[in-house]
Amino acid sequence: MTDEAGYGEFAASEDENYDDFMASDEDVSIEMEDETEDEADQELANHRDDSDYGSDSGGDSGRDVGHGGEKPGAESTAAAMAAAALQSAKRMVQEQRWHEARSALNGILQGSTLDPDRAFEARLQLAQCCYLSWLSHRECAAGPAEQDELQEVCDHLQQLHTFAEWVEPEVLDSAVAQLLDQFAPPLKSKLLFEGPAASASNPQVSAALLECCAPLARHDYAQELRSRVLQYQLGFSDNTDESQRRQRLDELAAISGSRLDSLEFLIAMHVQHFLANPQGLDVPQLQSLVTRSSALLQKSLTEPLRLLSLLSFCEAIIALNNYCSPHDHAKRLSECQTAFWNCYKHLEELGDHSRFRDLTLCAFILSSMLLTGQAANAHQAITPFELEQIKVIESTPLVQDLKQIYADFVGYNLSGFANSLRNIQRFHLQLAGLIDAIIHLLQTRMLWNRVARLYSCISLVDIRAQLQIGDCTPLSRNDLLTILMKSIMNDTAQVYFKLDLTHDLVYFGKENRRPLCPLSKHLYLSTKSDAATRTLNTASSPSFKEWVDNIGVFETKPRRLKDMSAVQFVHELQQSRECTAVADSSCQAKPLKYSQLLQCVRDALS
Amino acid sequence: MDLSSGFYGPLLVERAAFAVQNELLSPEIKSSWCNAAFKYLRLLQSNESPHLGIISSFVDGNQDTSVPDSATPKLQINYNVSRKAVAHQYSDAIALQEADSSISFLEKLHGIIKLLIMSEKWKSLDEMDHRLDAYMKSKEDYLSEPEKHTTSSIRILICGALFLQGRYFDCLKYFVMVIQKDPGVFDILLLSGSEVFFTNEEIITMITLSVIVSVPLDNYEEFAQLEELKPFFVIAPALSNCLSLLIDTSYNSFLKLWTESFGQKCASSYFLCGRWKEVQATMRYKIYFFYLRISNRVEISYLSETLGIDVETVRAEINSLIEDLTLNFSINDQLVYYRNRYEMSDVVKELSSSKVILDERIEKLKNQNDLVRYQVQQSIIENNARLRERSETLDTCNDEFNENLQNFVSNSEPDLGD
Repeated sequence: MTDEAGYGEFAASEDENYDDFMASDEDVSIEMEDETEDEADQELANHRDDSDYGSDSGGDSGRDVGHGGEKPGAESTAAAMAAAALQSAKRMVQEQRWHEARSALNGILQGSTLDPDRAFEARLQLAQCCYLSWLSHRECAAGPAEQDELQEVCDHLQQLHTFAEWVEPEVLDSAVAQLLDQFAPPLKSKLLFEGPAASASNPQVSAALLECCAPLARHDYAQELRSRVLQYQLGFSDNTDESQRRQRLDELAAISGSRLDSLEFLIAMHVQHFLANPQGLDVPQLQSLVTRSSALLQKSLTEPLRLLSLLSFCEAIIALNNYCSPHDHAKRLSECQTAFWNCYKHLEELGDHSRFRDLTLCAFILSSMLLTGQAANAHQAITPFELEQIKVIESTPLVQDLKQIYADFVGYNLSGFANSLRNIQRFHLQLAGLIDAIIHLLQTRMLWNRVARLYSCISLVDIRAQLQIGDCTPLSRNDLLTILMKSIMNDTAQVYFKLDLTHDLVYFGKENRRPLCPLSKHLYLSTKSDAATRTLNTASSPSFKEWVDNIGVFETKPRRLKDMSAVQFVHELQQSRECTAVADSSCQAKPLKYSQLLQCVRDALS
Repeated sequence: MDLSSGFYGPLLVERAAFAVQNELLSPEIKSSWCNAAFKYLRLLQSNESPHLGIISSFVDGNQDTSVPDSATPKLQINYNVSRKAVAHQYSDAIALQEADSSISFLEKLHGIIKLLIMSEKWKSLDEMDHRLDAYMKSKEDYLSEPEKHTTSSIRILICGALFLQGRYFDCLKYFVMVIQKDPGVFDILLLSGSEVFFTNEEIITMITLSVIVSVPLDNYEEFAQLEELKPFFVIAPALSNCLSLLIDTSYNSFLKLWTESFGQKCASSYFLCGRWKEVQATMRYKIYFFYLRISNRVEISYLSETLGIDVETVRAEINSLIEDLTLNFSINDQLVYYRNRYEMSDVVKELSSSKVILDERIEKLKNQNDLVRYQVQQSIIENNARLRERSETLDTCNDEFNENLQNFVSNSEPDLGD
C-alpha cells in the first residue's frame, strides 16, 4: 500500500521535494505503525501539504514558533502567539486529537486581533480536522453525529469563502489543491488495479465536498476540480446510461490537457470498459489518449509502471482491433504481440498478480502462437514457453493451461484443443479476435497437413466434420471454400487440389494439375491476330492482349510480390504479362501438334 | 458532381452535349451546363460547334443577350484554338496551339494534350509524354512550383488518357511512376483547380478501376500492402473496400458493391461511360476464370447463384470465355466440365474419322474407277459391236460397192477409190 502511495505521489510530484518526501514517507510509516494504512496516507498528505503551505505563504506562518517570534513589534507578538497556537493545533490534528484540535482552532478563530491570513489558515485547518475526524469515525459507526460532522466541514468551507478576497491568490490556490487532494485524491488507475475499495472516502461524500469547494477554485483549479468531479462520477456511478458516460468521458478528455493523472484515469476507464465490453472500444479516443500520454511520459523522467503497462495494453488492443483490415495483417499481429509482452513485463515488475496480468499473458501466448503458426519457418521459431520470464512461473495453473493449448495446437488434437481452450474461458470475451484467428489457423493447418495428405478425394461435408473443433461454431461450407480459394491465391495450398462443385468434392494431388488452355500465349495471340486481320475487325485486336492479361489466362504460376516497392510491384506484373510462357506441358504439345496436323489434313481433304 | 463543377473551355461544350443525352443527369445540371456552354460559345462567337443545336434547345429563355466582353486575357490567348476545338477541327487547333509562342512550353504541352484527348489521337499522345520527359531532362529537374504543378497535371492527364484507351495496366503503371517521381500528386487529387479537365473524382475512379481490372486476383493482397499507395487508399476508400472483399473471395458482395459505387458514377460521366461496361465484363470474366481454375466441374446455375449474376449472362459469357480462349472446358447444358481440347484419344478419333473419310474417298474413287472401267469395257464392247456392225455394213457396202464398182468399172475407167 505504501508502495502504491509512493508510486502515486511519484507521478504527481515533479518538484525537487522528492527526496524529502520519500524520507518523510519512511518516517511516518515508522512512527505510526499502529495506524491503519489509510490514515497513514491521509496523514502523510497532510504532512506534506503543511510543508508546501509553509513554503508558499512565506515566513510569517512558519512552522516553528521561534521563526515567527523574531518579528518585531507588539503586533508581531500577538501574531506570534496566534502562530504558535495554530502550530500546536496542527500538531494535535496530526496526533489525531480531534476534539482538542477543534477547540483550539475555534479558540484561535475567536481571537479578535486575528489577521485574515491566519484566520483563513485556521479555518482551513478546522475544515480538514473535521473531515479527518469524520473519516476516522466512519468505519465505527455512521450515525447522525457523523452527518453533523460532515455538515460542519461544509460550513467551514463556506466560511473560508468569505476570506477568499483577503488572502493572496497563491495561498488560496494551494489551499484548494490541498483540499482537492484530501477530499478526492486523483483516481489514476487505482480502480482498475485495486477495485472500488481504492478510494479512502465515500464517493458521494467526495462529490458533496467537492461541490462545497467549488466557489473557492479559480482558473486551473476550477478545471482540476471539474476533472475530479468527473472522475468520481465516472468511476463510481454504475448505472449511468451510455450517452451520459460518453459525454463525461469526452468532457474529461477535453479538459485533461497535459495532466497525466487525469489521462491515466481516462485510459484506465477505457481499459476497464474494454474488459467488460470489448466491442464498445472507442479506438479513436483511446488512440489520442495514448499518444498524448506517451508524449508527456517522454518528457518526464519518471516511469510509472501502471501507466506504462496500461499504455502497452492499449497499443495491443488497438492493433488487435485493426487486425481485420486487409492492410498489414502480419505487421499488426506482431505489433500486438510485442505490446502484450511489454505490458506483461511491466505488470510483473509491479508485482501485479491480478486477472489483468493473466489476461495479458494469455493474449501474449495466443498472439505468439498465431505469429509462429503463420510464419513459413515455423520450426525455427522459439515457443513462448522458453522465455525466461515465463519459465519462472511455469508451474502456475494458467501457464499449464496455456501449455496444454499449445500442445494440442501443434499436435492437431482438435477435441483436446477445444477442451483446453475452455480452461481460459474467462478471457474469451476479451480475446475473441485472437481466439477466432487461432481456431481458424488450426483448422487451416489441419486441412493441409492432415486431411489433404491423407485423402485423394473427399467431400466438403467430410472435411468440415474433420475440422470441427469441439463445440465451436462449425465451419460453414462457404468458410471452407474461402480457405481453399484463398490458399490458391496466396499460393499457400500445400497440396494441389481441384474442386468438383457439382458434387462438392475435393480432389487432392498433383495429378489433378492440368492445363486450362492448350495454347501458349504466343501461339494464342498470333492465331487471334490472324483471325482478327482475316475478319478485318482490327478495332478490337490491340486491346485483346490487354483483355487476356487482365483475366490472367496465361499466368501459369502466381507470382509472390511481398515486401516490394510499388515500382517493383508493377515491374514484376509487367514481366509476367510480357513473358510468353511456354506451354508448360510436353504431354500437351504432341496432341496439339497432331490435332493441328489433322486439321490441315481435313482442310486439304474438304 | 455539383452544378458548378468548374468546367470551362471546349470540354464544357462536349460535357454539356453529353449531359443532354444522358438520362441519369438531373435537368438542373443539364440546363446549368448548357447555359454555361452556350454562353461560352457566344463568347467565342462560334456557331460551328456540331453540338450547338442540342445545346441551344436546352438553354433558358432569359439568358442575357448582351455580347460578353471577349477581352478577357485568358480568352484572348485561347481564342483561336478554342474556336477550332469547339468546331471539332482538332488538327487545326493543335497546330495553332503548337504555334502559340506566348505561353510557356509546359502550358503549351498541357493544352495540346487536352486537345489530343478530346480528339482521341492516342498515338500522338505517347509522343507528348516523351516530349515532357525530354523537357524534364533538359531542365535537370529544376522547376519552379507552378511548373511542378503543371507537370503533375499533365501527368495526370496522360494517366487518364491511358485509361480511356483501355490500357488499364499502363494506366496503373504510369500512376505508380508518377507518385514515385512526384508524391505531391496526391495534393492535386484533393484540390479542385480552376479549370477542370478530368474531375478529381473521375481520375480517382479511373485509377481505381485500372487497379481492380489489371492486378491479378492473386496479388490484390500484396497490392493492398504497398506503402507508397497508402495515401491513395485514403482518398479512394471504395478501392480499399473492393480490395478487402476480393481478398476474402467474397465475389458476390464485391460485384454488388462495385456496381453500387461505380455504376451510376461511370454512366453519368462523359469520360468514364465509354469504359465501364468493358471493365465490368472483364471483372466478371476474371472471376469466372478463377472458378474454372479451381474446379473441374461446376454448374452454371451454381455460378449464377454464388456470384449473383443472372443465368443467361453466365451461360453466354462462360461460353464465350471457353470458345474465345480455346480453354480445355466444355459445356453440356448446365454443366461446365474440364475436357482436354486436344487429347491423344481425340487424335485417334480424328485419325479414324479421317480414315473413314479417306476410305469413303477411296471407295468413291474405286467406284468411279469401276464405273470408268465398266464404261470403258462397255464402250470397247460397244465399239467392237459397232465395229463389227460397221464392218458388216462395210462388207455389204463393199459388196454393193464392189458390185457398183464392177458396174462402174464395167461402165467407165476407174480413177478414184473409197
